[in-house]
Order: sequence, then structure tokens, then C-alpha cells
Amino acid sequence: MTQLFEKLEANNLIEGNEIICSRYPNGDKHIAVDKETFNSYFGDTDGTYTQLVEVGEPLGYKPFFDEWKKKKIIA
Amino acid sequence: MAFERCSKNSKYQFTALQADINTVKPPVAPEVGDICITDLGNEYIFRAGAWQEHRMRYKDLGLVIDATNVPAGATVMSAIFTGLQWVRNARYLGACDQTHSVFGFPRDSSSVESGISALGASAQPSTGGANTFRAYTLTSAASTASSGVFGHGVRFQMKNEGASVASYAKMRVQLFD
Repeated sequence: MTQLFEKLEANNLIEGNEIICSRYPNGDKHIAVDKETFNSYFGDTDGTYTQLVEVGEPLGYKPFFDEWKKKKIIA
Repeated sequence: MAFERCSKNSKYQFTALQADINTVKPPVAPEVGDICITDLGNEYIFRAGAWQEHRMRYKDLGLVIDATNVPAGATVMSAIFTGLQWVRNARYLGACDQTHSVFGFPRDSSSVESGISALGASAQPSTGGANTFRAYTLTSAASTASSGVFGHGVRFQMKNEGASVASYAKMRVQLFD
């Protein structure tokens, strides 16, 4: 997860303790999840798109993982 | 200022010290609907045998949050409202199909969010539909006070506390000053 968080930070998707899932058009954060909650769901995955989606799709995270894959944050 | 009856030309029927409201007997019996102004500038209306806080003015922020497909554990946030004056109370209306909690984070004049989250009712069970709103009263997480001061600005948030994606997450807010 550390490596994923570093890539998210490099793409301006981390603010403090939160991962930004989406932003308003003016750049302000709209939907976010704190790192602890994210880790509790995805900490046991290898951080790849396949495993993240396997766990995250029923939780509602797939659209965000699709975006991360487009931006090459995850493979 | 002691507990006094005002003249007939006054906007108020009584004046009083804040500490005397409902603890000291007025000089003459108030009538239902009489208004009393205290030394702290608070207005009270006489109803059901007691002085009750009289809220005449309010700001209605209308639609604040209207989100769909909010992931489990994620928080959806409103825009930041600034330029607020003295706001003593807030009433939320929220609708979400997952257990959720609502917050209002005050901001100071430097736009720093204060450390104490203003917590509405938490762990709200699933409600009946996308337009079935449940009313919340603001409660400070640090005390049992029923009102909160927002001061310069505020951002509202709704967190999906459930284990599934929330099909909808909506909040409307009224601010009372």
C-alpha cells in the first residue's frame, strides 16, 4: 500500500490522511476515504488493478480504480 | 437589567437578565406569545407556561450534498461555505440508503478547519428511499450542547458507515442564527 499511496500522492490524490476519490470542478475534494479505512479493505491485496477490483467492486470503488488504471497509477 | 415589563410602544413585552429566564418570576404574568429580550441579546417567547428560545431568523442553504454511488467507508463533502456570521444552531436533513454519519466542520478566519467535529446523529439506519429525509440536530462531539457555532465558514460531510456502496447520499441544511 505504501507504494500505491506514494503514486497517489504524486498524482495529487492524497490530502493529509485522505485519498481523494473525486473532486469538484473547482478542484476541491468531493469524495474521499481515509487511509486507515482503505487499508482495512485493500491492505491484503497486492495493489494491482485486478485484485483491487475483485475486493472493491462490491464496495463501490471500481470507478475510481478504472480512473487510476487510465492514469497508470495501478497496473 | 432586572426582569421588567416594557412599555406598550416597545417591540418586546419584557426585558430580563439571561440568568433570570425561567428562574425568576416576572413582575406581571406574561401572556402566550409575549417576547422577552435578555441582556445577552437572546429572544424568548412565552409558550406552554415557560420562556422558550425564540428563533425568528434562519438561513436556508438548500441543497448541500447530492451524491450517488458513494463507496463503503468513503465520505462525500459539500462545498465550503464562507462568509457566515454568527450561527448558533443547524438542522440537517439527510437521506442515505446505508448506515451513515453526518458532520459539519467549522472553519476559522484563516480557513483552518477546527479540530472538533460537529457531529449530527450518527449510525443512522437505512431509510425508506432517496427522498425520505431524516432530521438531525447538531451536537458538539465535545459536549452535549444542542447548538454549535460555525463562525466564519463550514463544510458539511456525510460518511457511508455501511459495508456496501450507498446508492444515494443527500443532505440539506438550515442554519439558525
